[in-house]
Order: sequence, then C-alpha cells, then structure tokens
Amino acid sequence: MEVLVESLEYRLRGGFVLGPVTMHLRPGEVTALLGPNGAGKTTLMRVLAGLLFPTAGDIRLDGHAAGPHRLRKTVAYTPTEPRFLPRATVEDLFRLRLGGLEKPTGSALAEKLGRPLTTYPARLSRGQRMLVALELTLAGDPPVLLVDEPWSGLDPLAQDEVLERLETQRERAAILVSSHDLFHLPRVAQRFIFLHRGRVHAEGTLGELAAAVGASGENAASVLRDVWKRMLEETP
Amino acid sequence: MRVLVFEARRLGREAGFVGLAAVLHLASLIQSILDGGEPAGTVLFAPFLAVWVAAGDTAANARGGRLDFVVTRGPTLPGLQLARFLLGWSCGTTLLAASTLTLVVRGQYLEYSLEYLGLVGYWAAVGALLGQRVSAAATLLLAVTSSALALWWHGAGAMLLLGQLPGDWPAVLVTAVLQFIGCAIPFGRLSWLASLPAFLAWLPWLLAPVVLALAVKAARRRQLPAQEEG
Repeated sequence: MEVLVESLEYRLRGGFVLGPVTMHLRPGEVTALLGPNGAGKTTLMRVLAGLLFPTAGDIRLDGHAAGPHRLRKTVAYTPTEPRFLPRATVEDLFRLRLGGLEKPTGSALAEKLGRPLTTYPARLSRGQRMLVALELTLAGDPPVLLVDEPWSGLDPLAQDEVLERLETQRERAAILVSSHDLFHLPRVAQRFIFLHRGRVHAEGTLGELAAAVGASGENAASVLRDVWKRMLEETP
Repeated sequence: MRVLVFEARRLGREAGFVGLAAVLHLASLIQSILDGGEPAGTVLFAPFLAVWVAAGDTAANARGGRLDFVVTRGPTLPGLQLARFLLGWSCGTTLLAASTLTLVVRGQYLEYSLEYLGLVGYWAAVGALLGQRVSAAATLLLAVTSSALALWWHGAGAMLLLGQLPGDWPAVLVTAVLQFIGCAIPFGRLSWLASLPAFLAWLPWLLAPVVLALAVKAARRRQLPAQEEG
C-alpha cells in the first residue's frame, strides 16, 4: 500500500511543532527515518499510525484520504519501548489481534522466546519483548509497517532477527523504520529521510544523498553521517 | 466479542478483584438463601463493582503506551470501552442476581431488581467514561464519595444548609442531581424519596445509554501520545 503524506503538521502542547512534513512510502521499499533526539521521529510515527491526530495536512493510503481511525485499522506500529496491558499473556495478545495463533507460528515463537506463550510480556527481557512486539506488528500481513528504534538495546543475534523479519516483510508492505543505527539502516533501507526540528531536511536514496551533499564517505554509514553533520550545521 | 474475552481473561487474573468478588457473591448467596425476606445487603456493592471494573485503568493504560498494540490493527478504543462497560455491568449484575436470586425465583422484588440493574448499568457507563481520565481506584472513590454526599444531603445536608427536607422545593433539585447522578444506592432503598414520582426510579435506564454514548465519543476522540516524544 502506498502512503502519501502531504504538509502534515502536529502541534504538541509544549510548543513543539512537527511539520509541515511531506513524504512518500512505497510498497516493496523500506524507508529509514533519521534524526537527532527530539527531531519528531516518534511523533511523526504516532501520527502516521493514527495514535495522534494531525493538526493540518493529509495522509493518503493508495490515494484515499485516511483519518486516524482508518490509519489505526491499516497501519501496524511497533513503538520504541513496547508496552503491553498487564495480565495479558503473549498468547492473549495474538488472540486479540488474529483471533488465534496457528500452531506452527506459535511453536516457532515460543522456541525463539525460550518461554511458553502463556508468559506475561512484562516477565520477558527487552529483546524478547521487542521480538513479541515485532511478531505482533507483522501478524496479519499489514500493508504499512512503522517500526521505531527496533535495534536499540538488542543483542547482535536479535538485531539480525529484526533485519531478517523486515527484509522478509518488505515485499508485502511499505515500511518506515526510525533509528539512530547507521550500521543496520543501510542494510535494510532503500530510501532515507532526515528529520530535524520537526521538518524533513533531506530525502533520497543513498546515492542521491551522497551526491546532494558531496559526501566523500566510502561506505553507507559514513555517507549518512555526512548528511547528518551537514543537517546539524545548516540548522543548528 | 474478541476484546470482551480478552478483557475478561485479564480481569480473571486480577487476584484481589477475584477474591473480593468471590467473597461478595458467596456472602450474597448465603444471605439470600438463609434470609429470603429481602435482598442481601451486599447488593449495595454491585454498582461499585461495576464502576471499578468498567473504569479498567484506561487512562493509565493510554498514558503508559499500553494501548498501542490494542488499538493499532486491533479493536478500536470505543470497542475496548464498550467491552469494559459490559464486563462492569456483568459483574454488578451477577452480584445483584446472587443477592436477589431466591426472591426473584419466588416472583418477589422483580421490579426492584430491574431498577437496580439500570443503576448498575449507569455506574458501569460512568466507569467507562471517567476511567479514560482517572484511575479505576479514583473512579471508585468518586462513586463512594458522591454516594456518601447524597446520603448526607438526604439525612442532614438539606436541613442544615437550606432548612428544608430533601423532597421540598427547591432542595429537591439538589436531591435529584445527587440521587440520580451521584448516588449508587438505589431509589427504592431511600424511604425519604417516596414522595417523588415512582417513575424516577427508572431514570438510570435512560441515563446509562447517554453516559455510555459520551464514553464512546470520548474514546473516539482520544489521542494516544507516547510517554517520551522524540
């Protein structure tokens, strides 16, 4: 599903303003969202997920204007720090979303977690919770997927698992991944959006960004770092 | 339906609630069987049980980001509130049933039970509305406080403040507001309201859908900001 964001704005009570943001998420493509802390990445993701209501602008899904309620129905979202309702087991959460969990999928998940699915997520490690969150987010093949800081605090194997899951899902969905991780992002993303002070500062493929800033970096991470530095210099 | 089962399972794992509800239900049943003359006194707890269950800590859940995985590609927030309302009403209703079972079977207190059912529904709707702003404990405290205030008004407040009986004009206006909006003790239990028209006892049946509609509307408008915005 194609997501078109036009002149999107969101005003926070503290005075922080997100936007206007215009961006395009394409199916079959992973878009990376980068920016310093406080840039508005999480806010943008929550607006796109329908959890926050924009104060101006449009979000279109396959060309049709989508309000927060349609976004909540359509867009899957994994927050930075996945939190779940107390006294709900992993199995309950899947039942709520899918009506049940097929045995092979359930067994595979239980094996990955090393715990039965009757475990409460609060009793899992952060990495295990992120895994549950990601599996829940991917459940039912969402056409649009937003993942906020998926690698933060995960061990290397769990990080690879996240990469693999995103790569697998890419064929079926438009994906936006927010992260500070300049190592993992280029491995999974085709396009990059730099957000700073609530606005899009730079956008494009790695090659386009490198050309735009005259980046001399020899690898993807250094190109992204150059763009990041340039962004902070231009808009301190 | 899925969200109702989900919420029921979660509630069933709340040990404190299950223990208290079991004691109340058992006490109601025993009293109802041993003293079949009138409803068990424990029936007075039914609206409080309903308001607490229906409130369900929605406000804290929302603030803590715990609803993110519920409302994205899952049930809607109004759906969740409706489920919590139904659970609250069900819990209050089972306590009411346990308290009046032997009477209703004999064809007694049927009207009383139906009036009470409306009152329990009204308080469940209040829980579903207020629970979006304050904790379940605070919602319960509010119900207890407003009921105590209504009783005080009936017993002494009207005379102390206005020098009138609660049924006299204009004290009756305050009485009506306190009784029908703030009091979880049913109309039929308060003999000093006997002078008011009897149909008013059915008012909670009218108020409950109105308050529930407000709860659903508030849930539809509810935004879910993260604890930490980045």
